[in-house]
Amino acid sequence: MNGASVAVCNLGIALTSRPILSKVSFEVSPGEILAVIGPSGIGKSTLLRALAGLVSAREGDVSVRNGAERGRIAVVFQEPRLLPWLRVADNVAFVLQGPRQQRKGRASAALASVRLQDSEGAWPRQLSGGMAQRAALARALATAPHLLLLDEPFASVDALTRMELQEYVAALWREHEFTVVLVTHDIDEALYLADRILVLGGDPASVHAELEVPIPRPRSRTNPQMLALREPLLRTLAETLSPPTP
Amino acid sequence: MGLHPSSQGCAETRTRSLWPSRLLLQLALPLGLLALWWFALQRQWVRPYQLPAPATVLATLQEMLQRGELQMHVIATIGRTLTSYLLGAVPAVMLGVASGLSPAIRAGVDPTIQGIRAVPSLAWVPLFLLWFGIGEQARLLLIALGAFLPVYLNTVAGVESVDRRLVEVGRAYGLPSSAITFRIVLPGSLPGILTGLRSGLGMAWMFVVAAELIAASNGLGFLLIDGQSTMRPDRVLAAIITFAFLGRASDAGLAAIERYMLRWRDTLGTPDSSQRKQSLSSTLKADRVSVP
Repeated sequence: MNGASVAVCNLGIALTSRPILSKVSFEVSPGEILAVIGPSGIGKSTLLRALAGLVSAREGDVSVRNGAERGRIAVVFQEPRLLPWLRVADNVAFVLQGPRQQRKGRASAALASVRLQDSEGAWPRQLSGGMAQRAALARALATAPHLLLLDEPFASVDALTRMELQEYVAALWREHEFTVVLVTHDIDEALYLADRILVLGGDPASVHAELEVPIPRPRSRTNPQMLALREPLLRTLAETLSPPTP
Repeated sequence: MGLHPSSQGCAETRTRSLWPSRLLLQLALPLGLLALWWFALQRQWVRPYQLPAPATVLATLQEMLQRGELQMHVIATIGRTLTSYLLGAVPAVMLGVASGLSPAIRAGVDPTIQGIRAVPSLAWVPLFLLWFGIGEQARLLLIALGAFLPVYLNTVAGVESVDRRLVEVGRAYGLPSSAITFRIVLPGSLPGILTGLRSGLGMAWMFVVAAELIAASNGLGFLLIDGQSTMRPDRVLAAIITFAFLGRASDAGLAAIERYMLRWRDTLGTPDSSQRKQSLSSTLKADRVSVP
């Protein structure tokens, strides 16, 4: 098992003195896919950025075991964030360590795994939105991560490309068994990919509900179990939007 | 009856080269000015002792070239400009990057540099002459100061314009600060740095004239002042034309370097954006179907 384990304990984060997250606690087991959903602006991305070490906690603690060392945590953001001055293969290789030839080889293999082997020499501007996001995914996978953090990574692509990218992630996860934390606002995406779904709610946000997704893999999007879980999940999400009862 | 790509029945289209018309466009204004110059003399709007004929200026240039006089002045000016340019631009890039990256360094040096920028360049001349005497040192430092300011300001602006989200990628993947600086911040600020280097070179050409007008014994600036004092407008114009040529050539060289180094950009100035448009239009043509 290559996956890291994550423990978040009473995490509180404030941005420009406004509390965003408060007393958020959860754990992620090695090799598990955890989806975090919640209304827009609730603090899902802030939570993911805290896991990536990009924002510091005001209170509480985030600990990553078997993945804390450099290059073992990979992040795919909502936008591809490819460096425009590097060709696609170099964009993948620049986050890697080791001799140049070795980095190049790993970058090529990662690009081939997302079917971008023909675009290695292209500039990022020459890629379509879906291709650029696949390249960003390849950059993350090339690091052989123990923890993959996905911040609404497929939100900006069309429906078909989104499904294709979700299948990529599911297939690559089956192969490498890394731990995944996926932030999304797409319930179907969460149900298709996750073992467990965390619903954030409140202001400041905390864990409002937790839902297991005990559906065997590989999953079908028309699986009746998945459709059955959709309804309670939607209801829980709606609860986070309604004002608290006095 | 069926659908087939229309290109099957079409003769192959040829792409027409645009360069002859572009060259004509570039030459139109200088040729027009030349014609106006000649016409003004013909109609005696100006006197030849004020503005000699184009042919006279050309003859003077030829004569100075044959005697080796022009080459001597050009070499002196180029040497002075390049030395001072490097003296000004290299520390400007280094200090600009440091200021852009570190708020503490910026707070320390930026107000002073902004203050120096507000002083007209010629105001420094008496002080430089007092400090360094009438010699090469004063001239070189004056030109270096002229080149320093635009390079520094554009470098700071370039570093500040680097997309924060790209820096975040480096941090998310655990890259050390040095790698983030050299592999993300510096390449990201390259458009600003190169703009600064180009305007810095332009300023160096301007300042070299000012520097050579003050007590120089060679250089194109000296040629200007010499032409004025000997009542030889043809020599003044020959020097001006040479300055224009040198300035244009050096800027074109830097522009070519800029185009190459920023070839990844997707802007109107990027050469292959037009090629992409062309290939897109040919793709559309290829995809078009016709019903016979």
